[in-house]
Amino acid sequence: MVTPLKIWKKIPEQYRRLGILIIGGFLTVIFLREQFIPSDFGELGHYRTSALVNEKNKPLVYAGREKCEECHEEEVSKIENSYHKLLSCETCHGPGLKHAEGEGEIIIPRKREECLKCHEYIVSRPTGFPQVDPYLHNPPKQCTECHNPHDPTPPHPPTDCQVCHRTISSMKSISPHASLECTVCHKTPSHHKFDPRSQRPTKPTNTDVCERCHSETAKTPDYIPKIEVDSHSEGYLCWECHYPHSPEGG
Amino acid sequence: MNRRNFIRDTFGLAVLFLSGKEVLALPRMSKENDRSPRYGMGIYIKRCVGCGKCVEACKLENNVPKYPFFYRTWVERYTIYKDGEVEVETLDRSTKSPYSVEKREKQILRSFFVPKLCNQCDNPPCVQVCPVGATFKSPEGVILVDPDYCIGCRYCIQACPYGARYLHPEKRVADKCTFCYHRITKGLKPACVEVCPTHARVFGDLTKRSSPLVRFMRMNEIHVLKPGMNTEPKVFYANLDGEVR
Amino acid sequence: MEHLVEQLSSALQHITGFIYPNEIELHWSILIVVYPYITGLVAGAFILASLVKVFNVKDVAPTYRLSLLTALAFLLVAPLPLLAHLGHPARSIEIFLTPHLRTPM
Repeated sequence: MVTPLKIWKKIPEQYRRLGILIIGGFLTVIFLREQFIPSDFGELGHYRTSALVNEKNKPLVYAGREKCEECHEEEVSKIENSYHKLLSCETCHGPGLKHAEGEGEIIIPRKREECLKCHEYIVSRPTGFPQVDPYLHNPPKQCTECHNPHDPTPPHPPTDCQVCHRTISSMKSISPHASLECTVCHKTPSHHKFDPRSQRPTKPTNTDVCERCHSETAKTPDYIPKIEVDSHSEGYLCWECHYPHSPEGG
Repeated sequence: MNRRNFIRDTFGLAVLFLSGKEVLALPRMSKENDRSPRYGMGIYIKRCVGCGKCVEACKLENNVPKYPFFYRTWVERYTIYKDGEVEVETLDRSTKSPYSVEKREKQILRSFFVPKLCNQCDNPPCVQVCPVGATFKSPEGVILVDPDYCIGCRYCIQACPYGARYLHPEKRVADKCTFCYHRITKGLKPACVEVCPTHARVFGDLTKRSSPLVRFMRMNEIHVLKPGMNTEPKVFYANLDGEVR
Repeated sequence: MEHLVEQLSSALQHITGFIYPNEIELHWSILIVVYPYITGLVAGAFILASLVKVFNVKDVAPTYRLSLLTALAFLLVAPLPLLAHLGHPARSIEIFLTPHLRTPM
């Protein structure tokens, strides 16, 4: 009969010692892993599940417009019908959850700099976004004297196109077309100043507008360059080569 | 028992032992994925005005250190001049007063703002390189960091191709944008999406056809940052310029 | 944290061109560089010792003891810069408890 003890005696001394070491090492590793690896590790992936729970339970700081509406219905309904309808209350008033739960202050921004953070003229801002030059636009008055932030309709509609279309206007103002009003070429319905996206100005579709001043038969002063309409680049519209807001590429 | 059988049995036991956990975990993983949403974000470059409110809101919501070296989300400004030169700068309205005066406004070809944040990649390089398993992808597809398990080796910070991670100076662990996980799991929107005044950031669930993000993806030409890195990011940009890095 | 801010602000002065704002801080700096240097020394000292016993080069026999001791001493010291660089050295045992097998580290 082959007993384990006989097999054990048959294995050479060195292998016996090595075997004990290896098996002992193996068992120690298993024991240590059992002890020290966090128990929720590996359930959903190679991480501790309690990390997910901890992350979910972090405190909130911002509340969201619905929460503000619970108490401030009037202001919210006012702003929803105004130009600022895309704004959340906390965009200007700062984090509001503490205030909503009754324990904190809310910021009420009144200074000029606060409005200028969005409405200052910066060339990288998209065209059509209302921007003002802070040095020219009624300094040092506070914005709130003329514009109610919850209904920021300007006291009178903008007189110039350049209030919103600053980049094009500044380019045009240093070009030969500086003295031309925008409305000479673009027919603008007056409603465009109140609700820009609903009624847009027209753009010329044929060369008549340019020919009014630049054709050789036009009755305009001599310093305006004239061209023979028939032979000058037949088949092309004028603005396919000459950018109208800066016609000589200055 | 001969040598061949011994080797076969040991090998089989070892394989069984090592694979047991994976085999048991698999059915659970797929059940989790069927029910849970997959969150992503869309950004309209044409709408961003560079006001910096998203950066401010994120710092307040998530206790990010206020210095201009640590951001979970930030806004870059690109100015491309007519002679081909491209100038990029990061904005920080909290520490310095607004923009430098445009010295060469006449020569500008185009200029725009690009908000950036962690792209919550579906094939994240940062998760792959973590030696301990402290950063991981949650069932909703959001990449999170476990601050109690991270050892602060900074491998993930180096691995991120978008520069979205930083080492938290006080906690000494890696930190990054979590899509405000504590807000989105309660049905709210992330802080940056909440305060954006022009709705340039769109947040939604990629698995639901009615979500604003899926509509955004239908209506616009979508780009992602660094597509060649094969990270499969989940932050999509509409009208992204080729010069953006 | 003040010294960190000073350090980073001065680093900001030296930047030409654009850098992602989070990447201004250099992460794997001198401590990580020192580690391969020390392991290089260990390997070199060990080779020197093995030349004597394994390859029977008699010329370097006087250095045998010193090189073996140096190899051992530096080997024990080598992990120290790595631990010092970590944010949480005490948690480094986690690398052995829950190793993530997909990582190059």
